[in-house]
Amino acid sequence: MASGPLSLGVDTGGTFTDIVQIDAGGAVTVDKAFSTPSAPEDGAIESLAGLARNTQRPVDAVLGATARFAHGTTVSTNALIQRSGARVGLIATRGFEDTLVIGRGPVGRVGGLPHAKAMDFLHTEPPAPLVSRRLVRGVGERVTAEGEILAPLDREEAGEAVRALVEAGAESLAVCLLWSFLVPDHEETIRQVAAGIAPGLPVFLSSEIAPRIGEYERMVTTAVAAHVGPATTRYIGKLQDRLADDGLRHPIQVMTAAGGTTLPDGAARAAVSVVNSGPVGGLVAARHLGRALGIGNVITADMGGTSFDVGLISRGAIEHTGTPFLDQGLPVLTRSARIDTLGAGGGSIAVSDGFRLRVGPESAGADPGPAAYGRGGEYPTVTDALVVLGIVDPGRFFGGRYRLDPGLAEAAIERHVARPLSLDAADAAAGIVEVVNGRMSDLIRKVTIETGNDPREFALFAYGGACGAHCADLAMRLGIGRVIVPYGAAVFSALGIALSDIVYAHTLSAPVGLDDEDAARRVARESLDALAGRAEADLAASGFMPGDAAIRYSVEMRYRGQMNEITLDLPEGGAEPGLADRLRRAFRSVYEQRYGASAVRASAGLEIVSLGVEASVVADIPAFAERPSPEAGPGPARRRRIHRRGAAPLDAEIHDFDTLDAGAAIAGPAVIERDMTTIWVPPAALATVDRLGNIEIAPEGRR
Amino acid sequence: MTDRPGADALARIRYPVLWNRLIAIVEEQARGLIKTAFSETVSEAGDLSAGVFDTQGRMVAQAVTGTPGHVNSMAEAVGHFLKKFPVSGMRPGDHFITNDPWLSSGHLHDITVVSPAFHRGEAVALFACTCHQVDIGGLGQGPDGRSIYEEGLFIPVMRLAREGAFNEDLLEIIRANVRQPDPVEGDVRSYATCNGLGERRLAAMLDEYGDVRFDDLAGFIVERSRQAMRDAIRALPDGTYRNAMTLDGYDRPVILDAALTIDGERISVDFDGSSPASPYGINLVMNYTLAYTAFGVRAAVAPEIPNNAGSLAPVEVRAPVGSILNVEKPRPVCARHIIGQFLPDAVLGCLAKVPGLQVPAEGAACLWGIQVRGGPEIGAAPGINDDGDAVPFDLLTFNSGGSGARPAVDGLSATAFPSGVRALPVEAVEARAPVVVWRKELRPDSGGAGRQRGGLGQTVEVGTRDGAPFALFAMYDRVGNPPRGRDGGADGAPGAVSTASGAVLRPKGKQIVGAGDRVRLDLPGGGGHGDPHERTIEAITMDIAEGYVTAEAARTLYSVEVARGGVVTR
Repeated sequence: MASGPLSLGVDTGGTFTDIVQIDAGGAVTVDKAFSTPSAPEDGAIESLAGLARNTQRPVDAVLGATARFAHGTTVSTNALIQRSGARVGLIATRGFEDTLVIGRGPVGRVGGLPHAKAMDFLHTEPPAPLVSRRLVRGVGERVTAEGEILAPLDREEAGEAVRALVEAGAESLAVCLLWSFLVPDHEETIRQVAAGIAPGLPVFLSSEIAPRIGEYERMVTTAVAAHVGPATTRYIGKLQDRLADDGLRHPIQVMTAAGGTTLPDGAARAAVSVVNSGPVGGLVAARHLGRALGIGNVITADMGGTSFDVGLISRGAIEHTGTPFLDQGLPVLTRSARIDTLGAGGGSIAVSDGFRLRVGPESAGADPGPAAYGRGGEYPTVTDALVVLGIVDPGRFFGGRYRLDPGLAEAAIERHVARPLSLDAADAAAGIVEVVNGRMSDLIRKVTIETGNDPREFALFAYGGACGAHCADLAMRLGIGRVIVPYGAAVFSALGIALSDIVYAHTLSAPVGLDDEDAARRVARESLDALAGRAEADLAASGFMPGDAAIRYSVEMRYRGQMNEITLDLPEGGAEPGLADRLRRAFRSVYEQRYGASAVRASAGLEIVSLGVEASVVADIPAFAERPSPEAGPGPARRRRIHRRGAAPLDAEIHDFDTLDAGAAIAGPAVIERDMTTIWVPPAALATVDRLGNIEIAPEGRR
Repeated sequence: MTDRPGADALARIRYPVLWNRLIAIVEEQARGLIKTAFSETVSEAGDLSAGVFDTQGRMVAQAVTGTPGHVNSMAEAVGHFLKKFPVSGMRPGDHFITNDPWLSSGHLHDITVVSPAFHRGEAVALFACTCHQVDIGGLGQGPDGRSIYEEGLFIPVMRLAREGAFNEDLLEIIRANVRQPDPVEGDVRSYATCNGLGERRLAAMLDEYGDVRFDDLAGFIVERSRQAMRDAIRALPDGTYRNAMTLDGYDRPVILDAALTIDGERISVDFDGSSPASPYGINLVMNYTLAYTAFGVRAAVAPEIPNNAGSLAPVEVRAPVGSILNVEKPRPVCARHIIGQFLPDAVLGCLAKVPGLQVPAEGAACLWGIQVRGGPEIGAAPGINDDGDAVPFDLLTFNSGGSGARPAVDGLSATAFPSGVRALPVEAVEARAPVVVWRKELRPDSGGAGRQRGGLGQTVEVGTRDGAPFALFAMYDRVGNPPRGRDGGADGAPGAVSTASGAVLRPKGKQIVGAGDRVRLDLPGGGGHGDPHERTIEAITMDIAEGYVTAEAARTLYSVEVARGGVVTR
């Protein structure tokens, strides 16, 4: 049994809590436990107990040997979606008490909705308010765009506001004043005042949580932080205590949507980025696996029961976005890994109105689930279509744990798709798969092409329970030459969480034009110094030395007059002479790559919008160990007929993954059945198993 | 198993997939516009439209963006381009441009660019976009012009680029005529770039599906949509349904008189009886009248059917030549949206009388933009000193009043309908122009009472940072004629235009706000829906708690008792 320091990753999901252990030799051990939403720490502890059983060691021995315990939690996400976090009191500049409700017209109401819903003016509703108007107070103060104080803050008035909010039941205080990211003094005064009046009250300042221009988005971000922050810290504290009792000697590391982990001290401040951090683990795992395989350009495709998530790794770096929408319409200013989501999964429902064939976004979920589950599911799903086509074996679904009824699948397709479109059931099933594959490939196209990336230069990493049946087809549509179904596909997010680096990131709004190079250099230098100071303070607070961390500087720029920011890396000593010219060239090259040479405006002025610093303590993870050779040899050959639209059925070989050795090569048409997933190898494609247990598919058969 | 796929099988499976794909392509074209535009009306507010057309000029797919007024008038515009420049003469890299109000979207501020899309050497489709410019020269955006000649630069349908080379002479003329030449030129070039983006994506799609011809796909989409729209109309009872509404107008009230006729599978809307043309720039060209009327019909009758030439075809619109809804050149049209954005409400008022259809109450409808100008140019007004030092600026930012209450849910506060443009953050406004926004808050009690309450308007106050005088280009309505409630719902609150010092301003036209003073806008609330006495106690309690309705107003409007602590009883 390998020993040495262990790295653990625990990912709490909606249904399962996954755990992954990586030992000093790179061996990966996994387990799953049911999630326990009312007390998520129970599920986490249960998964740990399962893992301990698998490795035949007591829990305290596992935790005692654990050098890092990284955790992806849904506590913040759930607190936000259910509005069950802290009751937030909000202090705003007088005259702007209603900013959260007024929003920006459709932004904040429909910004995160699918278009059909957004345009449904008879029913569209904004997300439930984060802060009741009873818990908002205005204070008379005003700063201008130039940073000049037009009206000073009155401490007395601030005190009255805090007292009134506490009296009205505020459990957490958000402060968002106009232009505070430029002049934070008034917000800081309010924090001092609040500390005197209500010493235990958690206070969240917009100038710290999201120091960016745009009061609406900044206020939403601050209010979300104040709402979910306390619940997040409370939960992490509880889990930390229980793990410490069981022998864990280090603080838990909490996964963020930016793709790194933070320590519990930072979790309150970073609570917004803990929201929706779950799927990001998969991106980190993909980056790591990519490194092991020498693949720097990766499209990640995670297809489960209800959703399809796509991320991008370009030259070894995860692509990020600055304003994701949370909970169907709340724009937050937080850097997070860019993940685009579509309501398309194994449970996506197919219907036809006789004109069009729609698949998703509605999902049959786990209950009643696809029609073939026999639990009363009326509508056909993608899984039903795969059963009818012969790709999924109804007797071996989920390692044989569920028996599917192909007759129910066929009847549902017949009733809701085949008959309205005058097709037979097999053609209708092929149509369902074609539509869902079309939607998914459109999303991949959007994610890659919109950021100036050509999908043909990428490998597709396919994971999640449902992706194996679709990934080869997606690759063919997009001209992608290489598909990898990772060995750890079933627990890929937990694996990524175990692999994540500790990251502290700070940004600072610092608007300055490039035309005046001296001014630009001065602002850049001052901002970078301030940011570096914050990162160093974070590191010191967590017991690291400055040398333990890699520091990355970045600058966000745009053409003056545009609102389209582009982030560029800033090499060390970024504020040196020649800065402006280097930035101009770098900006031009990225802009040209994204929007084409004709979009470049050489005559338009450039301006710096913000500067950023990221300090990361790189996780010390050994290379993946090789997968042991299978114990069982290949069983008797199995074959199955696979239906196609408009052509004769195929006679496909069926393989059991557990019998495939490294180097096994399988020519399509073939199906590879794994415990949790089914992999479809189309005609002309070639699948091979590598020594780590990954399945690689070359859609056109070339390698 | 099936045999070889025929055209029929293609139509059944492949076209529905590609239909979604086309929508994705035009969405990408629109996002490209938002990303590469220089004017905040496009980049921040989303005041643009984008679409793909077949070579006959039929709109096949459009991006869902802020402005139905653009989209549907763009649908008409492409045909006008093709009359002058037939597809047969187009080459790759060609782009065409106009801002002719009568051929495109109703005023000079909207620039439309049309570009052919080639695949394997053949022009297979056209991409078009229409975007709003803050300034196009002339007086500035407002209703004060007495003819189109005063309203700015007029670009007839002409070539913007020939085989990739821009018409630099035209760009120079444009630059010389506008107040902010750099962003305007940057925008115009980006329109061509984004149409080109659409072309590349379409070519990639046609490469991928080698057996699909764009014309066949377009025909399929248009026919299916037309059929679906006809089916939706046929489900409605035949008859003629009338509605008239009165608006403030510029110097006298404007009446929109609509007669909507459902006849089998067609709907026609006739505006005979509406007011004659105005001497001021609040007139509509027929394109624009058609655009917003059709939008109103489709929003209520079949919102789920994608907007394209097919789904628009069964809707016919007539307005007498010379009426305010169908003026001829050279009538002024600059602020046509003030009237145009009421057309959906005019149509909904007709549809409300159709048995079985439920529609919202009237709302604030027209956007309450803050279009202001500072600097020496405004000094011509009497009594204002022109010291020559004031910083020149032009600013446009959008605000919205309340939308009408809906049959099952309250109206939306501070949210536009029918236009869906976004408001700029106040900080972005102040970063762009030397102004201070002093307040932007909801107007309590402005939403019309009803079983469902109308959305609230808002109060906005703006002045210059240094207190210098500035010009307001007022384009507001619903000051004298508030949004009407429906089915027993009360009217929304009327709007008001004033200064912080208390002076009442006219709702339309350029006016000077004096040194140290500020503009104050009180935006209208939406009308209520249903009898206020049927509003639930829970909803009223929530309204009072959230400050949407004051306790005093709740007592009178909803006949309830409000105890201390907000406890409501009936």
